[in-house]
Amino acid sequence: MSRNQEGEAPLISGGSRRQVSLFDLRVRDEFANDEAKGSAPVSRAANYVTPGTIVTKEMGFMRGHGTFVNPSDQSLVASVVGAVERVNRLVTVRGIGGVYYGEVGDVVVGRITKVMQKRWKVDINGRLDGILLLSSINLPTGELRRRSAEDELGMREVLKEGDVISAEIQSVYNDGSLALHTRSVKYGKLGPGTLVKVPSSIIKRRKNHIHNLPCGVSVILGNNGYVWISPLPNGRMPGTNLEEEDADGKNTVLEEIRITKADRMAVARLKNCIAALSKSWLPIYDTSLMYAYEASTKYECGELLRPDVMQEIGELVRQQMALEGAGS
Amino acid sequence: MKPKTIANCTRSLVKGGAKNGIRLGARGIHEFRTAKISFGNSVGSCEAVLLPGTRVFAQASAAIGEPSDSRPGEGAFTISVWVSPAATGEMVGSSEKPSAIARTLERMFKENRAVDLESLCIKFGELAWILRVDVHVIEMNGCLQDTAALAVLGALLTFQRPQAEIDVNTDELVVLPLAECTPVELHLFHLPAVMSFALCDEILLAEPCQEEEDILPGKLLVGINDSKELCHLHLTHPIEQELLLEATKLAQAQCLDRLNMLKGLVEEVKTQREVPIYKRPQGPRATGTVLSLSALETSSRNRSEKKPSIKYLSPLITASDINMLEELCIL
Amino acid sequence: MAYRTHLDDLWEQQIRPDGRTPHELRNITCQMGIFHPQASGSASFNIGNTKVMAAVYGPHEVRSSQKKHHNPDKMIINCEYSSATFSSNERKSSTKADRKSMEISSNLRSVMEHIIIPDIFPGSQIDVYVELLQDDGGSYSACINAATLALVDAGIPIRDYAVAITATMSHSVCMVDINAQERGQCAELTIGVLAQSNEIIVLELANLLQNFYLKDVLDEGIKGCAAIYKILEEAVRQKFNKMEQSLV
Repeated sequence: MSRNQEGEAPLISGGSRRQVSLFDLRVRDEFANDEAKGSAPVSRAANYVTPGTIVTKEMGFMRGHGTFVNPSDQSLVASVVGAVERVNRLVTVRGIGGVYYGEVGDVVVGRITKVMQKRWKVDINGRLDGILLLSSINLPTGELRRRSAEDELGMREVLKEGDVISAEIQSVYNDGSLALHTRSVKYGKLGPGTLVKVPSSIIKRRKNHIHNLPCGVSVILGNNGYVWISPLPNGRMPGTNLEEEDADGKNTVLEEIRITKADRMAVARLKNCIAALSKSWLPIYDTSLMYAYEASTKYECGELLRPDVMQEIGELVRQQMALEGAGS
Repeated sequence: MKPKTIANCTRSLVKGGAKNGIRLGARGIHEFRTAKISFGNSVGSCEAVLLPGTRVFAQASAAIGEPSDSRPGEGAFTISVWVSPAATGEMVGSSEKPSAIARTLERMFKENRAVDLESLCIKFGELAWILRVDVHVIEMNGCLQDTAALAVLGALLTFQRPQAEIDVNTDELVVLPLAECTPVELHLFHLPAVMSFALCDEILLAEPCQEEEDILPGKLLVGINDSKELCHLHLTHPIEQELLLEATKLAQAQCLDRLNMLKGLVEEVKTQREVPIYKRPQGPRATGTVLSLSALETSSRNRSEKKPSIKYLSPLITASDINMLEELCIL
Repeated sequence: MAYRTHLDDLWEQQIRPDGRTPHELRNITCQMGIFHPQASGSASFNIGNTKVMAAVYGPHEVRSSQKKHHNPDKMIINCEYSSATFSSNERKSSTKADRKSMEISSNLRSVMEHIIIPDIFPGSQIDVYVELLQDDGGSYSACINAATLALVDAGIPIRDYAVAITATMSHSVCMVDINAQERGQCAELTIGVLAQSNEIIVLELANLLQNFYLKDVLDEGIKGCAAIYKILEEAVRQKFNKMEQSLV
C-alpha cells in the first residue's frame, strides 16, 4: 500500500510552505502493530470474566446486571466482559460499554425522529427512543398555561423531525423508555453546531455537562454519548427561548448570527479531539477536552484525522491525567 | 392471516409426552412416517406423500437453450418451489418456507452434483438442455423437505427427454420427437434423500408433524444418499454430539429403506412404459399403492355402467377405432 | 486415469497442499472495534485468506417496517449476510441478495438468537451485519466467529461464545480448517459449538462425507473450535485491559 499521499491544500495550510498530508493510505493493520508495540504493560484484573464463564456455583446469590442463571445446573454465569463485583449477596459483572441506560437527572442530546399526538419521539442512542411530552417543554411565548388543541396542531413549528435538542431525563417508564423535559433555559432546541457520537460509557458523570470552553466553543456532553459542539454560547438555537436576552436587552435572531471561519475551525478541531479521546477510550469531561485541545494545537486541523496523530493525542492526555491524578 | 396460536396445554403435552416417549399420532419417537409415491402420466412427474397429510408434487421438464457462460460444457438445472396458499393458509410471499425448501433441494441436487449435467450438453458453449424441476407443495403437515426431496428424486429418475444431436453434415440441431426415438433418461451420480428430526433438549423426534414442528424449538435435517454418504446437514438448535450421531444412524437406515422402495417403484414404471399405450391396464398409471381418491374414481368407472350410445360419437370414427376406445374404457 | 503428482508424495508424509499438517489452523488475526464509534460493536476475523467483517447496531428502537408485527415484550434480532462481488473467484454479477445469502442470513440469525440472552431488551431491535470480503474456504465459520466478537464488543449480554471451524476427512486423515482448494476435492463440514458447554450449534455440510467418518470429523472439529475460542478470548481480554486502563 502506498505511504503518505501528499496533496495540495492551500485552504487549510493558509498559504504556508509546508505540504499538508491529507490522506494516509496505510492499512489499518499496520497501525494495530504500532499500537501493540507502543502500549503500556497491561494489568489483568483478578476477577475478569468473559461471557460463558461460571461466576459461582453456590446457591443463595442474587443475580445482578451482566449475569444470568444457567437453567441446567443453576450456576451463575457471566454474560458480558468485565470484572465481577459482589455486594453482600448481589453479584454483578461490571462491563465496559453497552447500551446507554438512562438515569433520572441525566443531560442528554437527542434528535427528533417523530412528531406524534402531544409528544415527540427523540433518538437518544438508547435501546428505546426517548419521549418528550408537549407538556414538558417551555412554550415559545414563555407563557405558563395548559396546552391547548392549537398547541398540539402547532407542534411542528416548535420542533420537527431532524431537530436536535438538549434535555434532561425526567423519569423512566415501565418499559424502559425515558421521559424527557426541557423546562429550563439551558435545555431546548440546539443549533447551529456539530453532533458527535461517542460511546456513552466514556462520558463522565459530572455536575455540569454544558461547558463554554475558553477556546470560544461551547460543548454539551450528553450522558447518552451524543456531544454537541457549537460556536454559540450554550449551544442553543437563538430565538427559541424568550427568556434569553443578551446584554442589549434584545433577543438575537438566527439570521443575524455571523459565524466566522475561526469559529468553524475551533468547532472542527474540538470534534477531532473528541474523536481522538473516544478512540483511545479516555473519559471525556471539560478538563480532558482542554488537554486534548492544547495537545492538538501543533497539528493542522485536518491532520488530526490521522490514526497515528489521534493515538499520540490520546497518549498525551493520558499522561496529563495521570499527573493530575498523582498530584491531587 | 393471523399467526396461529397454539394452546399451552398442547405445548406441554407435546413436550412432556416426548420426554416420556409418547407422541401424537401413536408413533414411537424414533418411528418415521410412511411414504407413498406415485407417478403421473407425463414423464418426469412424481407425487410423494408422507402420511398423514404432507403432499408434494414435482414435475421435471427440459428445454434446449444456451448454457451459462461460466460453465459452457454443462447443462443448467433449476429447481423452483411453490407452496400453495391452500396448504398453508397464508398469503403467498409472506413466509420463507419456499426458499428454505428450494435451498435444501439446491444443495442436495445441484451443489452436490447428483445429476450429471455434462451429459446434458449438446454443443459446447452453444446448446445444452436446460433441466427444470417444479415442485408444488399441495398439502402441508411437517417434513416438507423430506417429501420434496423424494418427489424430486422420483421425477428425475422417471424423466425422459428426446434425443438431440448436431447433424454432422449440416451442423444443424436435430431433435427427434419422443415417439420416434428411444427416449434418453437422466444420469444420476447418486440418489440423495433427507430425514428431518425435531429437537428439544435431549429428545429427538423423527419426522415431526406440523404441530410438533411448531412447538419444538429445534430442527435437524440429515441427508444420506444410497452410498451411505452424508449429503446434507442442517441444524437450528444446540445438540449434544451423541444425539447427533444417533440421529445420523437412524436417518441412514430410514433413507436407505426409502431409496430402495423408490428404486423398486421406478423399475415398475419403466417396465410399464415398455408396453404401448393402448395395451396398458385401465386407470391412472399409478404404481405402488393407489391413492384413495383415485381408487374411488376407478371403481366408479366400471364396465357394468351403461355405455353411452354410439350415435353421440362423431361419424368419422370407424369400427376398429370403437374397439380400441372400448379397451381404453372411454366408452 | 490418476496421475501421481508431488501432492501425493506430500500426502504420504501428511502434509497438505498448502504446507500445513492436518491439525494445523491457518493464521488467524482478529480485531475488535473496527467501526468505532459508528457501530455499537464491530469486529473483523481473518483466517488465512478468508476475511470477514461484522458490525452490530443496537439495541435501538424497532424500525417502522417491522413495527406492525412487533410484540413489545419481545426483542427482534435482525441478521444480514452479504458477500462482496469480488470475494470469490467468479465475480458475482449482481449485488442483490441471492438465495444463498438469504439462507446464510437466516442461519446466522438463529445462531445469534441462541447466544443472545432472550428478551433482555424487550421492545428493542439488534441488527447484526456480516460482510464477507474474501472467500478462501471456511467463510461461514469465519462469519460466526466475527459476529460473536462483534456482539461482545457491543456489550450485548450473551450466554456463551459461538465458535466455528471447518473439518473433513480426506486421504483417511482428519483435517481441520479447510481452504478453498481443498474444498473442491473433499467434503467440508462446518461445525460450530458453544465454547464452554461444547454443544453443537452449527452444522453445515458441503459435498459428500461418508457417514461413518462423521464421529471422527466432529471430534476434530470440536478440538479446532477450542483453539479458536482461545484466540477470540485473548482478543477480548486485550481489548478489555486496554479499556480498563483508561476508565475507572
